[in-house]
Formats: sequence, structure tokens, C-alpha cells
Amino acid sequence: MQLTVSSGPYNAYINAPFTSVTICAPGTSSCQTIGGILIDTGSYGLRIFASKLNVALKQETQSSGKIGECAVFGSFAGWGPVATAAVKLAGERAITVPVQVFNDSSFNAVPTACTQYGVPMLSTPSQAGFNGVLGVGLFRHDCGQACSTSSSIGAYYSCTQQSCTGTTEPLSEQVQNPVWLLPVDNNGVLISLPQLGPSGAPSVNGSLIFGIGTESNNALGSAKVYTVDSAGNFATTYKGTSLPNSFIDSGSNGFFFPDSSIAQCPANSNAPGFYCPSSTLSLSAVNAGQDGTTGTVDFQVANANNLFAGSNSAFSNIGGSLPDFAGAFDWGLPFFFGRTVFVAINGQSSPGGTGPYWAY
Amino acid sequence: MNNFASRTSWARTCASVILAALAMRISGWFAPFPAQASLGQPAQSVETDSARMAGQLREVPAPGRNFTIKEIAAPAGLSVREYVSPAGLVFAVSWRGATPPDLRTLLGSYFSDYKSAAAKNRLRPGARYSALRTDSGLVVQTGGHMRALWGRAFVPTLFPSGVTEDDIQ
Repeated sequence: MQLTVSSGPYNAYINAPFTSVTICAPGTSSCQTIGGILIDTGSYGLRIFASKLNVALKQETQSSGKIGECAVFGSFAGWGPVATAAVKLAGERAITVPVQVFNDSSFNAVPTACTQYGVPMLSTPSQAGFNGVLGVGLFRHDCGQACSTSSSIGAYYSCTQQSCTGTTEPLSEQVQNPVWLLPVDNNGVLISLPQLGPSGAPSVNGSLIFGIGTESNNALGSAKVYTVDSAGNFATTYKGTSLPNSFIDSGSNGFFFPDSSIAQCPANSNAPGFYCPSSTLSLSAVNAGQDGTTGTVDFQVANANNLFAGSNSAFSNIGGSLPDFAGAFDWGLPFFFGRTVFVAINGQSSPGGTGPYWAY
Repeated sequence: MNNFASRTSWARTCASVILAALAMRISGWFAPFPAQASLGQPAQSVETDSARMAGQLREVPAPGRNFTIKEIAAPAGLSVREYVSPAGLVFAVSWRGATPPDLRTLLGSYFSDYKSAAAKNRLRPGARYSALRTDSGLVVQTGGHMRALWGRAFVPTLFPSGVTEDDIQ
């Protein structure tokens, strides 16, 4: 399917890949196509703001009540009911999959615990910068075994009219990466974006292709496989420091990594949170899979404040800081330009082995 | 799921786990829970936190340092560390795991301060890191991606001498 790197439907989410999905009430021909959907390799499952939905999805229930979810992302949390939808991704066959609906005013209010994780809550599409998120990362399920065996994880809730209480959620009912449910092309995805010049571009088209090694357009080719730990992370060595919790995330709009020697953009600039070096830096880091495969990545970090002052929204050379203690290098969207990045889903067999792994 | 473990090899002895579990049960049965748990509170509040999280408590060696680190291994791979000063007060907490801890438990009396600062914290689309500093000097930093989240909270004015935020791992 086509994706477009832009600042999104609200001009609020610079340098992010957006697409459209068609979503239908299960078992009906009542469908709608929703744009402004963020393609996110850092999460798992489809989530859409209630205010953008005009088809009736099927609320998930257990005997104890309606199912709601508190989904925690790196920098925000979202609350809302879990519902079954028929989802059509580009030319693939429609599949039925549990999805999350954000901020449904007809559903229970957010449980207090969900607001106590130290991250802002999603409230509206314009605040979030997207109408929905299509999580096509390394895992089938957004929570996995932990949530099917424990009711106190804080992710899934069973809600009566009065209140919501934590519940276990079987794997098959968890919000999940729709790709692995496809009848074919279900072992992962690839994301391909063209190279960009140093000043970026107003917007850029690329593609999200389903399957790895299943069609003529998704061969692994010479891409190198990087295996990951149980959380989906691998090690990046940057300036001699090993960062073992590193990941590749299309929903991050920069290279985010710890380097106190690079000047940060001022808080009141165009680019708070980004790096603002006086001249463009040419840097490199070494990624290492769990199995020992290594590869060097060369990248550049330019002055984000200067870049954002123009009218471009797609950039391959912006970065920002992470605290040292995170032990992480977040290879965000700039990493994808000029590359084909493969995302192999856990438990699914593909030419690079059984997922989860990244390959590029 | 526990990427704390992947960062450094923290060997765990069966004996210390059993002793910690025993201590937790005894305190849970015979000692009243303090009204507020951890940050800024006495070290005993760590046991309360551990019990609330149904976790296992152990001490992580901090050789040559003037503080101790208590680690709670909670279910589903959540690992929480609480940093205790020589005066016996918790001055920082950090965590890693598939799901984050409830900060009401960890922040104790700082929680209401945190809540009012968090209400003003703006979402930054595209960032995978969120930080806030309250008027009373509490710092909360969180980030990561779904299934792999990390964070820490500390009050620099509570740090023992010589301790910096780099010590809060």
C-alpha cells in the first residue's frame, strides 16, 4: 500500500508515514476509508479515534463486561474499547481483527491507573497528530502471554456500567497486528522509502508491502537479518557505548539517541527535543543482532530548527536526545529513507528465519 | 520481556529471593503499611511497594557507592529499582518492562505534585520520550516503545552527596 511521509492530517506530526485503511462493520457491507493513519513499527495493532469512525464495530465482551484497553506507547497512553472490525489493507483480502477505539465518549471513562504512567493521555486526533495508528511491528499481539495469564497488567479491563476492573485477555481477543492474520503475505512487512536530499522534501511517497519473500515485490534479497530480544530490541554501539534496548520505529520522527556533546534546540524554538548542531554532523553506529550479526549505519544529523523553519515535512537527517539511562538508540523514520526495511513477525516463518527480526 | 536483565547480568541467588520473599510476607502480615509509599519515604516503604506489585525483592550491589539499590521483580517482566540514601530514604526510582508501574505507588507523597504537572505536559507527536519537572523539583522521565518501556523518577534535592542523575539506571 502507498504511504506518504508528511506532517499528517493536522500538520502536527512532522516526518511521519501516513496511509489509509478501509474498515467495515464485521459481516456487513458498511465500510469507510479513513486517512491519516500512522504506520508504526513500534507498536502492534490498529487503533482509531472514535470521532473518525462512522461504522458500527462489534464491541468485545467477556461474561464480566465490555473489554477496554489502556495502551501505553513510549510517549503517550490511549484508552478506549476493544472491538472487532473487518479491515482491508490495500489489495489484501479483508480480515476480521480486534482493534482499539480511542476516546469513545459512549464507553467508560479512563481508569485512574491508566493516567498514572507518567505519559500524556491521547485526547483528540489533532492533539495526537493522527486519526489512527496501524501498528505493524515485530509482534502478533499488543501484549501477549502476560495479558492472557494475569489480570493485573494494567492493559485490559472488563467494564460494567459502573466501573472497569483489570482482566485477563486471551491472545485471540487481544488487539493485534493485522498483518499476521492475512491469509497470505502474513509473515511481515517491508517499508521502502526513497533517498532524500539534505534539506528534505515537502512530502515523499513510499510503500508498505505485505509479506517477506512471498511475492515478486517483497524478496529479502541481500538484506541482513538482525534478531532481537523478547522485547523486540537489539544492541546499537554508538561512540563506544553499547545501547542494548535499541529499536527501529517508523513512528519516531527522528534518530533519538543519547549524545550530550550535540547542542539541543532551544525549548522555545521550532524543534524542541531535537538536536541543533551548528553544522551537519556525519555519524555512525554499529547495530548487532542477538545472534551476533553486525552492520555499520552511517547517518547525518542536521540542525532541526533550521530545517523546520522551511516548509518541508520529510527529513532523513534529524535527531534528538534520549537520556543515557534508557540504553537505547531509537532508529526513527530518517533511518528508512534510501532503504528497504523488513519487519518479520514473531512466530512467522520467512526467508530470514522465524520472526521476530529486522532486516535491511 | 525483562530488558533490565539484558543490559547487565544480574545474577540472582535462590537464597536471597527466598529471604526477601519471607521478609516481605512477614512485614505484610505483622507490620502496618505506611500511609504513603516510596519516593522521599523510609526504605521500609520499598517492601510495601513490592507487596503491592506482587513482586520479589532483592538488593542490587552498588560497590563503592553510598547508597543501596533495592530491586522489585514484578510479574510480566516489570523490574523496578528503588535507590535508598545512607539516611534510609528513597531518593529515586527507575523501571523497565513491558508495562510501566503505577506511579501513585512509587511516587508516594510526590504523586499529587506529579499529577498537576502531568496535566500540563504536552504530547510531542513523533517523540518516544517524555519528561517533566515539577515545581517541587520532582523529575519524571519515561519512554520506549510498546512492550519495552522504561522510566525513572527522582528528586535531586534528596540525592546523597556525590550522587548524580547518571547513577539512576
